[in-house]
Amino acid sequence: MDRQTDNILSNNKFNMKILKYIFSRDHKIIAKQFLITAMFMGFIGLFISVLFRLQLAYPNRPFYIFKLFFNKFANDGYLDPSFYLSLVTIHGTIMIFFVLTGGLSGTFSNLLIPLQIGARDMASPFLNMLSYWLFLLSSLTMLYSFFVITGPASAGWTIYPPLSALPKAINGSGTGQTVWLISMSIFIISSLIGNINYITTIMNMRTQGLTMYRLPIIIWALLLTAILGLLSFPVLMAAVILLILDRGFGTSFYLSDIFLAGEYLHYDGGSPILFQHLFWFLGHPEVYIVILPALGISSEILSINCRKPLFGYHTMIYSLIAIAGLSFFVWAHHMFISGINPLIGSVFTITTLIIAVPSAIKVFNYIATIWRGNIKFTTPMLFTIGLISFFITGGLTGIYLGNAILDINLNDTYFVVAHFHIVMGSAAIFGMFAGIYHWYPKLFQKMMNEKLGHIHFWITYISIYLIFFPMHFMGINGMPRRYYDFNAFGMFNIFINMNKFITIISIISGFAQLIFLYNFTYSMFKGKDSSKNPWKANTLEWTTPIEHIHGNWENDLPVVYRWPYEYSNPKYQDDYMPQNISDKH
Amino acid sequence: MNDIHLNKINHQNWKLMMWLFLISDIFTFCGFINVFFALRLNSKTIWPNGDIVFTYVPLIGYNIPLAFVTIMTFILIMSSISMYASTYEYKKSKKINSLIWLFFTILIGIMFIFCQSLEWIHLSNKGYWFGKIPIGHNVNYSNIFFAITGFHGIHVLIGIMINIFIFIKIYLEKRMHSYNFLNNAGLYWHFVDLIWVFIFTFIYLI
Repeated sequence: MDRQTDNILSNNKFNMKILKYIFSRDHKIIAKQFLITAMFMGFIGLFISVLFRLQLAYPNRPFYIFKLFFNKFANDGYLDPSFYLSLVTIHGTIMIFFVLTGGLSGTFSNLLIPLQIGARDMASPFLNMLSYWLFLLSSLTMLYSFFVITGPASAGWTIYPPLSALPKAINGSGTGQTVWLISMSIFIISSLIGNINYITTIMNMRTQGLTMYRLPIIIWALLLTAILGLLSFPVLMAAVILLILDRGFGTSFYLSDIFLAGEYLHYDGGSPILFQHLFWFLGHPEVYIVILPALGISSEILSINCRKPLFGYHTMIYSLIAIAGLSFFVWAHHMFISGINPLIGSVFTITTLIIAVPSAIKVFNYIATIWRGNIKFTTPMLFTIGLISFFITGGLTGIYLGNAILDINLNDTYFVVAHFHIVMGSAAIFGMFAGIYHWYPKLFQKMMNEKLGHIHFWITYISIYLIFFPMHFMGINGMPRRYYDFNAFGMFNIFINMNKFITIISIISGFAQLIFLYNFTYSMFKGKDSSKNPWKANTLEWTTPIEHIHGNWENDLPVVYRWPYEYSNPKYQDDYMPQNISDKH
Repeated sequence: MNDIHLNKINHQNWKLMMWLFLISDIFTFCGFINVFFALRLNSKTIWPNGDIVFTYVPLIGYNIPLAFVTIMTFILIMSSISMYASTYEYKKSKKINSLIWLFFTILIGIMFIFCQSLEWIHLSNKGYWFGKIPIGHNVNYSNIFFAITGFHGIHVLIGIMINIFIFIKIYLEKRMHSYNFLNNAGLYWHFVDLIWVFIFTFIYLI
């Protein structure tokens, strides 16, 4: 199959570079496709967040920018309240599913799995291509919902019924919600195909000598991510199918005794909490689907840039496995105030607090790796340090939120917003940035500009703390999430200036991402040429030729003789020893 | 560049992929069955008894509880056996035998779908449908019944299509190199049967 495509493409008639990108089954090109789609979606998500921050800071002021982009939903520049909910929903959906799930694990699974395990390509290049095209289709479907007359879905990224189950509930519950569900179904199929492919490739196609305990941590992380996705997304599929039946076929799985605009609806016997259970059975593993690849990337980059073996390699693997396993038993901590049995609440409090243990082990190992290392402050290293910082800060607030008793007060406040934006959003995004800066030479054969990278890091890092740290105090003072206008409540007047401050900082950090975009595109064409192994790393992806070739290695596949973290071993002349070089000469 | 180094399609890979897909699909069905139990155990109105709902037997009479669904279950399990026989004969390079058994598998699959359609039509005539149930009973009974059996029916239909495809493929091929494909199709078919056994137990029997 591949040979045919390649023949067609190398044919003089069709010798166009663009076709090579579109119909490629090469995992490196698919990784680029995933990355660029995710970056496109990420900038849209970022832009949306800046827009609703503007609304929060200046609630009673018209903005030309609202009118410019959403004329339908912004009368004279005043944002429509129900459209505010749509913006929040789409921001969450895009960031969680399309950037941090599809983008992060899609890009790095495709790029790194075959290269680091010494395989020519994925187990099934065709399914890999299919996975990307379905991902693109679902992204475009999600964006399409902005052009629907009633606006995009507005039940939150968690699409809780009844708001999502009754098409007439609010504007966004109509066609927008249907489009959301269609998009998500396509996304689930795409992720299922991708995950099956990733797991099979890692299990079956490792090169000679590469045992499971010689795999780089990132591969372990991607393997566990794929397993989590494989087991949790189908449950969302079941929930979505039942939700579609509720919306269109008059069933009442999630609805019971409901009045809409004074009219009694004939739904009986269902329960919205049922949906929440099904959703969070996906939803919590999803959080780890987002963060595990970022943690894996940081393990690689730390060890390379500290020129030290990774501390506690086996413990790292076991704690990843423990996090992945436990993540299936903590979902109800999202539902402490939904009306679940308090006994279940205490059980889930315990499991939630247990999951802090492997997370803490990972942080300890990171710090122990940095300890007395010969640290090189490259841009990826800075982003990794930022990731660890966010993981600690956000992880600590997670312990507060995991307690059912405290969570009753903090649930649905800005404390939660601050928590998950720091620990999941920012940490995972920083992992993605670190990965992009680190593997850019592998993707595009050029180096990114270090100076611009440093500027990008410092502005983003400081502004994330300036944006989200004050939100903890707002949350403790009871400021609820997803409200359109806080000026209506006198008790939140003390936060008016804080809201303005956060908005200004978020605009600054938004513009800082343009530095990254400039650096990314400029380096692609005009960047410094990269050498074969620019970071002096040990893993196999740096043994391939600089120019991409289909099949990765020119001659034989590399043979692996050791683990991937052999840095600064006095036994060897250099301070690194690639995995594929034998001790015997 | 040249691609002579690319791995040939590794059949071991396809088998593992099939198993991973089945594991994933088990979780979808588990989602549905969990919903079934959640609704049933929290039911505040009467949850209908399978003995009373499923008494319809085409051509014979109306008063044999669960007889028709038992026949359906029986023939579906028979199709699993014929699928196994087809794979077994194919492995022993007996193409004609394999095709005959595969033909029986397809036929039984279509029969099963036909029986299920009869049952659905009958139930909808009796007043069971999405969002509808005879008065006094819990409406979610018919909701979840149609959702689960419908979702399983889609799986059976996909299985029939795969089997027809592979039937044509084997019929046309010169050399016998479809064993792994047939084996994977068999895995899927057995899985669909196994799921039916659980549906039969949970929804019809208890």
